[in-house]
Amino acid sequence: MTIADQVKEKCLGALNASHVECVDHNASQEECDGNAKLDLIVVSPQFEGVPLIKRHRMVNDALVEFMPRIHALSMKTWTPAQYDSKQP
Amino acid sequence: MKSLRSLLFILCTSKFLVVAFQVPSRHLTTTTTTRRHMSSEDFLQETPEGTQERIQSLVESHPVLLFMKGSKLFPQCGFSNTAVQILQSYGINFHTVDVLSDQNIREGVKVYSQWPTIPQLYVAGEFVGGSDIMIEMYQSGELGEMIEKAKADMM
Repeated sequence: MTIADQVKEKCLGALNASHVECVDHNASQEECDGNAKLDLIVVSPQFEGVPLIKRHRMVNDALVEFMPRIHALSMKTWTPAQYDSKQP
Repeated sequence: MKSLRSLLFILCTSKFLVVAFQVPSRHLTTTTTTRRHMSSEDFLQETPEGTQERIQSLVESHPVLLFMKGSKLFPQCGFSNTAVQILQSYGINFHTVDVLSDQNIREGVKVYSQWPTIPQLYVAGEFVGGSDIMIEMYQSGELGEMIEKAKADMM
């Protein structure tokens, strides 16, 4: 299982996420000492009423075991309502 | 030739002066410490607590402070570059710390902020977040308000 899949699975479980997207831009492991460059979208009802910085901390805390293998992490943290409003 | 000789002389005497300065201090039982400028060697020997104190004093002495990779002119990472571009759009004075040139700060600031990535923005002594948060707060106008307030406090 790739690190992107592991991160996805972790977010679905630990953050009760309803939707997760995770892309590793270094999946070929050619850069950054072979570590991942992740773009992550997490949609979870747990973000309801939670400030942005705390949402990011929740994700960071959930992913702490993977951090040594992650070179860069960019994330969007949305509530289900926010996610729906972004759909075309 | 003459200048070479005088250069050698200066080198020798300065070395001698260092030795002359160091030897007695090693044998002194009571020493008075004279404060000198911190060099990178001091930072290598810095304790984790010392690093945390140094970070705290940086945070307290700069109203808008960005820990980043590289400098304002030459950011060494796309995320740090984004952070600098956002801050520059406000036309304010802000201070940056290059974590690539200081390994203690690079690791220490992650502990200090309880945040695993660089860049990290502090405004008025408060941790704001990393580049993703800066982008969202820039788009919502929240970061602009925060900076305006910090600017007013600077006056």
